[in-house]
Amino acid sequence: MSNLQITIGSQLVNLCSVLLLLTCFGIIAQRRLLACVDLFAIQSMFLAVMAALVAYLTDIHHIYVAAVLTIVIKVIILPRILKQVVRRLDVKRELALYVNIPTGLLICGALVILAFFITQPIVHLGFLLTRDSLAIALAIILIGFFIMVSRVKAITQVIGFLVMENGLFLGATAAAYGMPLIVELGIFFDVLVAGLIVGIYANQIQDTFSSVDTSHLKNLKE
Amino acid sequence: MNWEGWLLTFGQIVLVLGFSPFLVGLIKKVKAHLQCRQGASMFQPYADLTKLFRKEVVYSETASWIFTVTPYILFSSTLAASLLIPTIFTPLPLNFAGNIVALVYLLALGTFFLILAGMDAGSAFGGMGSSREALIASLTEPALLLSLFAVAMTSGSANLSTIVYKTALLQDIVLDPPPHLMALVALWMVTAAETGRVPVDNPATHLELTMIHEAMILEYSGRYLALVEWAAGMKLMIFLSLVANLFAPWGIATNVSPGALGMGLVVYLGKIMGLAVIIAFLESMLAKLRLFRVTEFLGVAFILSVLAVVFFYILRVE
Amino acid sequence: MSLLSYFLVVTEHEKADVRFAGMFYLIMAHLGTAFILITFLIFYQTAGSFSFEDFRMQGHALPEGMKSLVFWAALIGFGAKAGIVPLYVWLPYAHPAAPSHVSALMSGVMIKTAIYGLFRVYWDFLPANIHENLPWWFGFTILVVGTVSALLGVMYALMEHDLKSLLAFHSVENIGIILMGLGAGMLFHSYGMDSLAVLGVIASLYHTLNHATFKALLFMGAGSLLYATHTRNMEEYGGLLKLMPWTGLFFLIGAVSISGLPPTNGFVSEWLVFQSLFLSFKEPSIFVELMLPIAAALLAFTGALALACFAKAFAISFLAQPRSNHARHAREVPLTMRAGMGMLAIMCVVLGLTPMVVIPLLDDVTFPLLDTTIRWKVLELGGWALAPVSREFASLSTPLLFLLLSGLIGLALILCWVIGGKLRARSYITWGCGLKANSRMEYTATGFVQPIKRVFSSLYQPTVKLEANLLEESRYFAKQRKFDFYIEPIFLKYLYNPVVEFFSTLAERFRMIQSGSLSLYLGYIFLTLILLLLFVI
Repeated sequence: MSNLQITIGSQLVNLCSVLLLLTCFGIIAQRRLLACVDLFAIQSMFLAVMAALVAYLTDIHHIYVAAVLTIVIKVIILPRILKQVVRRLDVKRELALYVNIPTGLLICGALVILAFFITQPIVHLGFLLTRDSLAIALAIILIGFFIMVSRVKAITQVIGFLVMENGLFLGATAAAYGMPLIVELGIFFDVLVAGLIVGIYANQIQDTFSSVDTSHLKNLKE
Repeated sequence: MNWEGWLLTFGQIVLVLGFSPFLVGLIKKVKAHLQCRQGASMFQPYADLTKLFRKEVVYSETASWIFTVTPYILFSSTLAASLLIPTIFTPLPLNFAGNIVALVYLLALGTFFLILAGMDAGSAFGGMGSSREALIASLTEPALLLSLFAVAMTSGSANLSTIVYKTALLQDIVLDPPPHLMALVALWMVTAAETGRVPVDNPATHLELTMIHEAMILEYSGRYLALVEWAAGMKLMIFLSLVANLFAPWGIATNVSPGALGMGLVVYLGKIMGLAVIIAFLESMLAKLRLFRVTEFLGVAFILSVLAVVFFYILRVE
Repeated sequence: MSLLSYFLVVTEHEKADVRFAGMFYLIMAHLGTAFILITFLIFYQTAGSFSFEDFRMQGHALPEGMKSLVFWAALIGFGAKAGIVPLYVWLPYAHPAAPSHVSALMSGVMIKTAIYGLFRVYWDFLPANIHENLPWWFGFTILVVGTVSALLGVMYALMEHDLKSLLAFHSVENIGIILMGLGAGMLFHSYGMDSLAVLGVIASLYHTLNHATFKALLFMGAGSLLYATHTRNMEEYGGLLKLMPWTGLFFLIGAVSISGLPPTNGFVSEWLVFQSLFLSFKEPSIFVELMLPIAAALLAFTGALALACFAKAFAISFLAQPRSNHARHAREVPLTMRAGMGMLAIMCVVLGLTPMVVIPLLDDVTFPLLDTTIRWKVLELGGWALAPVSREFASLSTPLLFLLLSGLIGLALILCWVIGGKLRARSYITWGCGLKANSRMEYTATGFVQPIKRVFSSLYQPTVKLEANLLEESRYFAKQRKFDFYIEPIFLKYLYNPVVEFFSTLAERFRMIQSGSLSLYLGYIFLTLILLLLFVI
């Protein structure tokens, strides 16, 4: 691989990582659940593109498999399941939030800065192709966690979990050029099963409580 | 300044004044086609402006001299701001007059007087438009300044002509996608807000629930309205030039030769017409946001511009 | 200074709120004086006398810990007099309570003496010689304090409807901007980058000068309005531009200057502060490096909010129709008042158009402190433009901008005449949806800032009370409605009240000593006498 290829390659991978980060911000700033699911699908698409790019530049072929799996599961199947759940439960919007949107955005900005601080010593040691992406990966994990914490509807919390998983995948690709294929397959199946369970789970909650507001779970305490 | 400088400045004035109505007409035409109708001709705004200049002015008896002075101040401050931005040639002759901060505050001068004029007639529409514009201006100014600053830092200068010059020749700059990309998204969102386009403000409506810019200029008629509308068109051209020339200035003329200038002109017109078509598409696809959702929208722009600057500093350390 | 200004503040001592304001002011001034005294006493210890010369000679000999103590004492002491957050609470009481020309003096000049004090202590006394570097966190703290003061000052100013309180809060904001320039300068200096430090300091000094000019002008304008309408409430003004054209014009110039719009003086000094914050430099702590662009972002934000605030202030006071009888019967103020305002307005414009004359003057001040000069950089292009760092980095030419604006206005007039011919104009009443447009239909100041209040409600914590006295015949029509809107004063509630409570309780305990009984007092004297006999002899 020529030096120029590495430079252009790492710039492109940086570009994909930033696009991923932008979609994260899009999810935080959104109230419409269908749009959140769409943004997640777009995010997974960028992730797959990035994985394919890394596979091309480093000639590690099993990352191609991971990229294809990402497209099949996270771009096609999971968003379909989630959209079906959203339509069936007729929850289109997230109206009440624990943290309002501008504050949420500020917190996410702070989380990105925090992620960069934490990865700074690591980043200096690494000479890998995609070292800036590690910091962005950590940021996406933190933002995914924040989505889970700050949202009320179950669907958005699941999306937060899936965003976290995206961030993990990005981090693994950035730091170690992908995990062993077995581990990746295992994770993908976990995610798929989680999606299916959520589909059933949300229906169950809806049938029992007539709403998917997770704050109602607090009623179980007394 | 030698005679070349005068000629180029004069040429830019003619370009900005002459082309901005066409840009507005282009957007309206594309939107019309997307709505499956023919729409007015792309040259209609010229006819509109001429008609407005010739009409009688009706002004409110409650209004004071601020009302009559504002269109002139708005027109001249917007045109002066456009002279700081390279369109077909860089570096501009007048570039030493001001930099990014001067640009933002020249536009703010126009906004200030427009807010005053909106309140002057004593109608509730104008007051409402002014109040909303005050809120939106206070949120767009920092986002605009920071996103321009993020781009400025990559070329080490805050002078717009220098930034464009260096980026066009790819000399001496820090090539890095993340700050540029975030600054671009932030700048695009600010463009939608400052030029009064969907999703922030609908330029075609006159219902009080939905108007901001139109509410402030509701009382204007005749030549005053012509000047204000022309200034709005110029503002659109300014922002599209910023997006086009700060982020992708290749093709711009860097020396004063007829060939380079000609190519610069063609490339520039192509770029901003393309961006105008994109705006038309976005206007047709998106819905206008509620006023208090607009603040969330602009909050995203602000955070993105702050992060663009942060990314620049952090990534530069390596 | 505190004592004399106290007497000026309570000029109208018949009113209870004026007396309260005066007392509050006096207490805060005493607090500030106490801390300033601590500063000077620490210097006295090493210097042996109270003269500034000796302070300068010996100031550097203080150990590190004492220097930090001096830093904090000076910041709190001079800060209380200048009005930084959280020590600004007396400003919104004292400046409105004083007569307007006194307020002009206080806001324009007095709080600047505190800035002078800060400069003296930090630049003259503390460092041993020009090249000694103070710790970086001195400058950083000042920058942070300045940014917070600027932001909070303007946000509270937006919600005020008493014109003088609004101006008082704006003084807090501008002090914040001055401190931002000072802090940036100190920060650069502590890393040895003197050419950049000079920029920050000159920006700070220029803004001090400008603020004195336009704030005094605005206070005099407010005083003129008070004189003409006998009320301070902005909601009762309106339409005064036609009745008081000169006051309106001068107030407009002041409003344009304080919003930092070209080509006035506010724009030049804000531009300079921006330039000093935009300069990046490589140094180890990325935390500090990030603070500068974040400070620049917040400065842009305060600038935009200040614009909104003064658009509101000018528009509600001078435009549209009069909202009350007070305003309807207003008349232009006497010539002497107008002359004062006019002089300041001319100064504002002159200071804005001639930075190339002012900056060398300020440079004479900073040269002895920093041993670097930027005088020559200012005279780019034969004196037309400012290029404080380098021509390539950034430059500004306010005279040229002014000429450009005037020329383009001329172009607009020519276009109008060429395309449209002679102006035909007709006046008519404003459309009020079929009803006769009266002053009740206009926007009010409260209404104008309502969107901003809603967006930042987590800071303001507003409470709104709406009461209605309905008619007996129908529940839908009201005889009377009352609207109360109240903002949480965070610092008063959470910082000052607990402290005051604590001292009150303490004082209550000590009150037990004074019981009023004669025997007890004689007993105290007797006890003291016995103790003295035992321990001294």
